[in-house]
Amino acid sequence: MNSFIDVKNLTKVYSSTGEEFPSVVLNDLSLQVSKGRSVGLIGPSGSGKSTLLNIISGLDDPTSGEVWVDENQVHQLSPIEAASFRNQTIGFIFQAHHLLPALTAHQNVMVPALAGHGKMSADESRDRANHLLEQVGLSERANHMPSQLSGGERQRVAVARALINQPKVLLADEPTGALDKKNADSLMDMLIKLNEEFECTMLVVTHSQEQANRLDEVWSFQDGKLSAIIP
Amino acid sequence: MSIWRIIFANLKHSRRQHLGTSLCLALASMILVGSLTIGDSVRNTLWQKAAERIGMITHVFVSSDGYFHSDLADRLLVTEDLPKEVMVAPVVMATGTIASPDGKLHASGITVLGIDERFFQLAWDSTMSPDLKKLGFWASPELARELGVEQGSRLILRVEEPSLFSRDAPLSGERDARFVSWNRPYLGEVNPSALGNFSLQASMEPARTIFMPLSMMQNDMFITFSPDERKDFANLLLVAGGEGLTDSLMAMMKRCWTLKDAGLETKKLRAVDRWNLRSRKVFLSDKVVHTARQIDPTLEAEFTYLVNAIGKPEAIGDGNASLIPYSMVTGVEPKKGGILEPEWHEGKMAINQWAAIDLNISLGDLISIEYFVVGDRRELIEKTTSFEVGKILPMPEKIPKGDESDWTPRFPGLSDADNCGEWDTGIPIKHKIRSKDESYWDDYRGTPKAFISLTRAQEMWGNRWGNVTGLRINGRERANELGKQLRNILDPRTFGLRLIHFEKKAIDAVSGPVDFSQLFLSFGFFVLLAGLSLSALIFGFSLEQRNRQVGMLLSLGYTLRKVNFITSMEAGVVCLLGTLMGVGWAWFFGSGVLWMLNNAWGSAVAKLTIYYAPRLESIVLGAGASFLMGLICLLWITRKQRKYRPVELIQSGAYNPNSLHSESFKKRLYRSIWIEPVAWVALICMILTSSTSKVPPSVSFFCIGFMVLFAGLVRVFRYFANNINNRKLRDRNLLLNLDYRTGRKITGVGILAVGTFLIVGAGAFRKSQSENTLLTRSETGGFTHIIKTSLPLYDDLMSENARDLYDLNDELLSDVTVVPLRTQAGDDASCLNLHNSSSPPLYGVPILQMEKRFNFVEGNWSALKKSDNTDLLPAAIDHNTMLWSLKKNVGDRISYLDSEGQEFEVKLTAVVEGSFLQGGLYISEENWVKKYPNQGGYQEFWISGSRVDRTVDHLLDRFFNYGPRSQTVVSRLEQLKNVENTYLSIFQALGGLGVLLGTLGILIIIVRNLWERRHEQALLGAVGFSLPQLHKLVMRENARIIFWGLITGLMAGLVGLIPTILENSEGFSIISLTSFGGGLFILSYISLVIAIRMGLPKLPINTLRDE
Repeated sequence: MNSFIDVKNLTKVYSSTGEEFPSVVLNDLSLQVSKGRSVGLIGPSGSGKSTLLNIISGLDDPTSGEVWVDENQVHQLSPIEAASFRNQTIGFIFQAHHLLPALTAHQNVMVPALAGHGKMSADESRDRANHLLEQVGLSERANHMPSQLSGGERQRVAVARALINQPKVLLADEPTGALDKKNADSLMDMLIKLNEEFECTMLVVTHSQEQANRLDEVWSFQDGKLSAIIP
Repeated sequence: MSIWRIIFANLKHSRRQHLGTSLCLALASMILVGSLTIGDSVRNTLWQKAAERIGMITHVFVSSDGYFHSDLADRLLVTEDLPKEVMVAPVVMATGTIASPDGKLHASGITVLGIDERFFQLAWDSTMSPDLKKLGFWASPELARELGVEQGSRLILRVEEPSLFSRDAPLSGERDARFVSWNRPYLGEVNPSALGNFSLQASMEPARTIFMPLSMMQNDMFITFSPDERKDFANLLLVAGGEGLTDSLMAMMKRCWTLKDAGLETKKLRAVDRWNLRSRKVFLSDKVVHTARQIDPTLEAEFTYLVNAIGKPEAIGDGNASLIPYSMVTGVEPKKGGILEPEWHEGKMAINQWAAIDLNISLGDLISIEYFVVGDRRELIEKTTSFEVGKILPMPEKIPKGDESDWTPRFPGLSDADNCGEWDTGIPIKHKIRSKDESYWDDYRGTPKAFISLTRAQEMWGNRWGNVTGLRINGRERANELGKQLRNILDPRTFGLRLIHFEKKAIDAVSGPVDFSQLFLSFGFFVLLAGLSLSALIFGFSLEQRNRQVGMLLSLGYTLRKVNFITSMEAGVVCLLGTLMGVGWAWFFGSGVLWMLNNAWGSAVAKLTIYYAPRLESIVLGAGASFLMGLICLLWITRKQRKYRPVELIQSGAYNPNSLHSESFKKRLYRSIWIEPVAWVALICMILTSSTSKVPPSVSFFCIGFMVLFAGLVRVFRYFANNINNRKLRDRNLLLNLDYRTGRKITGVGILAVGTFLIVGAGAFRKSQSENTLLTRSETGGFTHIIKTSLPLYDDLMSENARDLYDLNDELLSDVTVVPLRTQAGDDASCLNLHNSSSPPLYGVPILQMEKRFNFVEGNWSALKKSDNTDLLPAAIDHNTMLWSLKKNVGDRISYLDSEGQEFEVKLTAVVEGSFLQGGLYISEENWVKKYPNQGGYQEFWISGSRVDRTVDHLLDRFFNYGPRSQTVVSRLEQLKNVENTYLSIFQALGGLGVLLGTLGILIIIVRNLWERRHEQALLGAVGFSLPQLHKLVMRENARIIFWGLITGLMAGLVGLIPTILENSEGFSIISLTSFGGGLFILSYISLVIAIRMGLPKLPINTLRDE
């Protein structure tokens, strides 16, 4: 197996009580991504882009199919292994930043390092958090609370947080969705730069064809399946 | 769509939260309504008992000092102005013992009532009355149960034979008490509705009464009274239908009352046209003498006394010498033409011819008399006084059979004797009675053999019952006028006839010193508070969830008033629902509590069976109050929402954490720094004050404890707030301070701390049995046993006379001390009596024997000796009785009536620290006998010493005829402490319920917090925290609430107890405190685990996706 991320025949069906027909979000979907590649996932709302990322990261379970990441079959992992997998292998950037309101920007970045799966010492994680904030251009705002940051700044803190444990995979779910064009471009620049710098495999869900075209591969969602678009 | 539609939609949408709010409010309502109805039930039960006890009787005339003729009832009925509906019944009341002929059954301390059919006319249901034509006994329901005999079984009833006057008085008759016995069949039980439970006292003890026909009792009881006089005596008049007559009844009584009822008569003497005012009680009281002399100054007083011997001085004390035994000697006023001439020297004596011849004595010779005087405890003190023979009197005429000398009143046991051998005067016969003495008795009866001056006689024989035995007057008309005027001037009260407003007293008594409504409200206050807090909390949560809706309504143009109206209406409906549910639950709560009071908590209500009887007024009042309290709480909580602008409400949807980091918050935090040191300084001052002054332990506990609680909660608040604001702290323990809702944490800590504090206090104040019960400076005073007798004993048990009289074992008695008490009955004011006691029993205690016994909060026994004012007597009282039963303070006064119906006051001067003396007031024996001279003997004895058990058994055996009952002082103390401990148990149980609610509150807070912070949990899960890790994290975060809650509560309790422990560490158990704290910790820990499992069952990652 050469693919770093290998999604095989993935199906996800949402069924809720009272509904006659269940909603098929992902339909026998397959996807292979090689190590270090950056992939853009585009498609209309509700097409299953975020669901795919959630399933790849182990945040959600598939109805059927398999997901392999770095030779781990994600949904066969025990809860503890899954937690360690999310902590050490995956870095997730959400559309909403989900910063902890009671912590400063610097402390928010450090949060994944405190889960105890890695070998980083407290001092190392503190330094790394500082370094990452510098990388995302927020070293001056490190001690600000999330409520004192702008939307773009918050999202950049979330990016730094996703990278604290040097993940092999960076999953970004519409990271620019809530930002204006200038901030969106800036964030995308930063992600591409970080992808190159840290050599992590990156899957980015976006509505913007323009943003997606800046990545190595672009896949489009249609009826629960993917079709490749050659940029 | 009307605004009501929105309100109903909101109610429907938030039905779960609202139901939770209503349930918590229902709890508060349940406590409030339930407590009020419990109070109703106790009052109602007491009132029912009181109604059974008093029937239709409104007033009672009690002759505390003797007997009146029972036809006084008829005379009162025909008194002018007395309404026709008034009914009056005469009763003879006595105390006695009853036993089966074989002695297997025995009941002592019972009340015996001689009644006729008029008694039952005063009952609610006179058809239930027994047939009094039968001669036998009927019993009150309680006594019937106790005896358990079948109808027709023979029983022997024994009562003390009434004495004409106090058996403490000289010449009152036989020293050993005489009994009147009846051997009659038991004829059944008197129904409660037919006054079967009649009793003069409002006591928790059920009436133990034997009823018997009045005539049967009168015929046998008064045999020692003058044979010339009728035997229809009574000592109670029960009046029904006397409502509104309280002020006029005594005046009416005065109109129909006669001197004969008081035992006074103007007796025609055998001397021509000479009359003599005499009393049935031998001695005329000073008041009567004074009044009579004011009416007629020419009255001649006389004082006749029985002396043991008359003889030459050298013959007195010589058993073989010739002397005249047992003679009457009379003191008269010297006057011209009288027996003693004016200027009669007090050292001279006139003797009659018979004595002069017998003693071979002539004018100018010395002559001595030997006589007994009676000491305080009826000990006979023999004295001898010598006189010079100043006159030899001629012999008077012989006395016809059945008649008596003009000089000698009717002495019981003497005047009726056919011969000297039958004399029964209460003094030991130590001189031989010669045949010529018998002849003198046959011819001259009690004619005095010698006369001395009245002043000298009064000096020698004067006593507290009187110093005159007769007042002579010349002429029928003057005698009649004297009688008439005496009757007009003297008040029946002077002769001990008291009017009791029985119905009012009964109503006052059931008003009760213990208001169970207040009691259970205070016990359940914490539950009530917890219920209100929780309801406000849940309602607040539901409002927060709808912040967006409120913001939207405001944005859409609704006025704030309209939005408030919507919220208030919702709150109103929720409160109404909670209140109504609470009213329903109150029935279960009330019934449950009463069931407990009738069983496990029975000590708190003296085993009284209480029936649940809620009053509509209480339910309405309780429901209204709980509705209002709930509404205020809920409206108070809505004010938070009004602080935000519409846009903030729409955007945040919830609480803005930024406020904690705001400058204003930090300033407020900074400004609050002073609160803590001030609280600690105040606390130290309180501890010092409590240690050095006599602050009651409970007061110091609550004051100090609440100060520690306050200071502790301020500290905890600052701790949580600092954790959030202090970067260094947060860096060290980053994920422990994610919850910024300090207010909620403080609420949790506060509820737990207050609950813990209260329960610690209740536990610490539980009364345990003291280990030093033999110490004289203890709650027992060194006494080990209390013996009470149904009939009084008149002698000092430690005296030789008493040992002979009762055949007591010298060896056993040599190891013990017996302290006798004189008792004036009253309503028990101990915590064993739920009734309100306005005049507790008044005991006369021998001060000398009480010195250095008990611990005093104020004064000591010596303080009872000091009395400058005869109408203001110093008294000792138990601290608990003073504070809680009588609600008095040192220096306060309580009124009593003396045996002449005159009011006097006792002043609370000495206060005994918690002891078995609860229930009564204690004055010196010396003062007591001055106020109740005619009440002789002792009915209560306190025993101390070694080998007491054997001695007590011996005494019980020797006093069998007097109906003795004994109780160990330790068991008496246990009875008293049980009441307090039961109250504390109730408090602990309800406090425990409060803690449970508090724990539930913490559980709700935690679950709610977890729900609100599900995004955080999801994020942490997304970045690699496992569920167990998150559980651990949340556990550590919230364990601090429990830790600080318990520590603050325990510390507040412990510090509050410092003054108590410093003073007396007895009974304080660190083990029970630790185990209690441990138990609470486990309970809270389990709640925490449950809350975390409920609030975070799995990683809420979906919430990220929902974004």
